[in-house]
Amino acid sequence: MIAMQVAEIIAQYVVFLELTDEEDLNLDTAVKMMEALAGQLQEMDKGFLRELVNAFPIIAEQYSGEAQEVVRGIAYGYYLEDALAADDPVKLAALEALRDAKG
Amino acid sequence: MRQLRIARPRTTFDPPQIGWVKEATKSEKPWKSYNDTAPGARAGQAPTLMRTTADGSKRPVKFDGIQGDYMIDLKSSVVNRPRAGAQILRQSEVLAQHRLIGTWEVPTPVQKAKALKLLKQMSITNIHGKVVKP
Repeated sequence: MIAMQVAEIIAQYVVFLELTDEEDLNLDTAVKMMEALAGQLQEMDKGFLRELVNAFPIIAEQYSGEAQEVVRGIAYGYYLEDALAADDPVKLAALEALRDAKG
Repeated sequence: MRQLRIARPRTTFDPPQIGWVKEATKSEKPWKSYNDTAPGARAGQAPTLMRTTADGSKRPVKFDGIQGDYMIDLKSSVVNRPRAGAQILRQSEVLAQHRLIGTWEVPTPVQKAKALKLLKQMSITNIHGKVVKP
């Protein structure tokens, strides 16, 4: 339940950082904050991070269009599955292959 | 002598025009102090290069530091999102316009591998990756 609430807050901020117009938000500043967020998420307790990663696709249903795609893409774009698989070379290799395939 | 007479002076390039803008992001978190530790960085300010866009307008591109011909972007972690990809293209373009090279300084070899993969996928050759421990 808490993970769901935290994931909702993160999703709101990610949508803001990724979709706010350039006139309102400097693009380099937005990317800097996205990178900081990625680093902090990757360092989270693995159990809680798993709950967050599982929550994002559910929360994405509350959004539509471009924002929905943004929320759906959080785990992939911020390397969260990779952080969860940090100690699992087989899983990491599978994720690498997936990224190579996506190009 | 004949050789000297026909020798043309070497083309010289003006030094890069570095601008400085007030850094809007303030945080006590480690990633922020990491960003302020780039060589040539000024606390509270970000160095910028002016990018000339296709329509001739000029837009600044922010970095974190300068070291000789290298513009430094300190990345506390790498992200693979459309806005991050657009930033890579902006940085590469402005670096080429100013005849400079970019360095992404990242905190771990894992982040460096992600950075290099991303740059390679986008065929970027004027931005390099380097591990700098926080």
